[in-house]
Amino acid sequence: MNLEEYISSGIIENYILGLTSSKESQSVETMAAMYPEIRDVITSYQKTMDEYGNLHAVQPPASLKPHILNAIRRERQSAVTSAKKIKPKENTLFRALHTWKRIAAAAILLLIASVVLNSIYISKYQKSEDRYTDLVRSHQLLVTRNQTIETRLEEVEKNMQVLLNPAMRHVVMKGVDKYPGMVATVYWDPQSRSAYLATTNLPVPPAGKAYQLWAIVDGKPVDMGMYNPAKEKGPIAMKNVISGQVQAFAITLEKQGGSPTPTMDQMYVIGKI
Amino acid sequence: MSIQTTYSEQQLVALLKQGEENAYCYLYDHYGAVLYGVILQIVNRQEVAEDILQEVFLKIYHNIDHYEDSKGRLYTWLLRITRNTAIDTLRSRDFRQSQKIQTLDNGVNDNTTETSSLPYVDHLGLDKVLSALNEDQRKVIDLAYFNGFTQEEIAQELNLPLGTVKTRVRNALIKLRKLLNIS
Repeated sequence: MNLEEYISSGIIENYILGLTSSKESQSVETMAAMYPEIRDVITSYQKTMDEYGNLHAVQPPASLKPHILNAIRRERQSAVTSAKKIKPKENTLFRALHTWKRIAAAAILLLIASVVLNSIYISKYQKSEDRYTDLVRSHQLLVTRNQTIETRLEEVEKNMQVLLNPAMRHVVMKGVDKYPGMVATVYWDPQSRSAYLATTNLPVPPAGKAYQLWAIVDGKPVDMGMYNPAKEKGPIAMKNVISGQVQAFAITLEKQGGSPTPTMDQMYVIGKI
Repeated sequence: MSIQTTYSEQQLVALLKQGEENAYCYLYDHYGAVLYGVILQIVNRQEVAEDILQEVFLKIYHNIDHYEDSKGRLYTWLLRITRNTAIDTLRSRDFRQSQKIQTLDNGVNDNTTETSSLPYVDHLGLDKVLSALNEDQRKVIDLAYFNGFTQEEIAQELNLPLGTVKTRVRNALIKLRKLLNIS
């Protein structure tokens, strides 16, 4: 489905009125994130509905606003005071005692209190230390994960850019007679003369061997760089073709590090532009 | 206590979650009239509507922590709370009884919840829009927007196949957007 078809399918309007399933809503949000055109449509409809809602708006009496704000304030204060209410009661027993007794009693109480508090604090301290270590660990985990995701996102964005470039030609290389069913694709941009290799089903090469991409330029093979299907995925930027008319692309199996000219009987796939 | 600043929806939600009074003030200034309008659409009585609006704001205060912007716009959430509160009131026994008494006092009139009899709405703008939208288009919009119906519920209410509801929603919104001059 192209963009116009998507926009005219009605899904966006139903989304705006809250009529889409959560799956459909997600798809709309994804499309909006990708295409500014869709974002614009959504915004204009949101404005429409806000405006429609505003037409139904009725100014409440002016006295209502302070009334409501007061009610919220009361609610908040009662939440705060109920939290404060639990305070220790003053003990009036002390006042009746003589000074030295008071001091002694106070000292003993202080001692007991201090012992109790200490043990409470120690256990609290240990607990928070444990939790702190846990938090640091999970934080590091998140940071690492985030970095991985960022890197992958960057990759995906780069790949999208490559694929969305309208000048990009799409050259499918098919297996030669010896290797039927094999396939690899080159994205070739004749303007910038750059090439990307993607979606191959070539097998993992034997030890000491590697695949090499060639461009056939004015009848002669030109090295475009090495490729290892075990290590690389997605559109891989290959070497640029400096000059000449590119007629075809091909992949051969060569020794590790590549060869100056292709070994013709080791050709796996070839595709003409 | 007037607020000049504007908040993004996210900022506003964060401040509401902190219980910031200014944020509630801002919320009232921006959404109070629309929510009040919606309540009037449902209960059609001013003094009851005022109580409901207050209840709605207290509910917002107590429930804002449950709101997540990933699940939809704040406006949609506010609208849902408002609608539910108003409908609950409408169904409560107290309301029904007081409604009965009022009907006795006033003679016939005033018993319906028909939107057309609302005295407080900005009739000029609304009437112009409503008369240009056809009845069917207005119904799908209102059922979805004010009553929170699902596609299936609308289909049932209007006795239409689901597919027709979908296309009608699209046409209605396109027309409404044009009528409101939104680019």
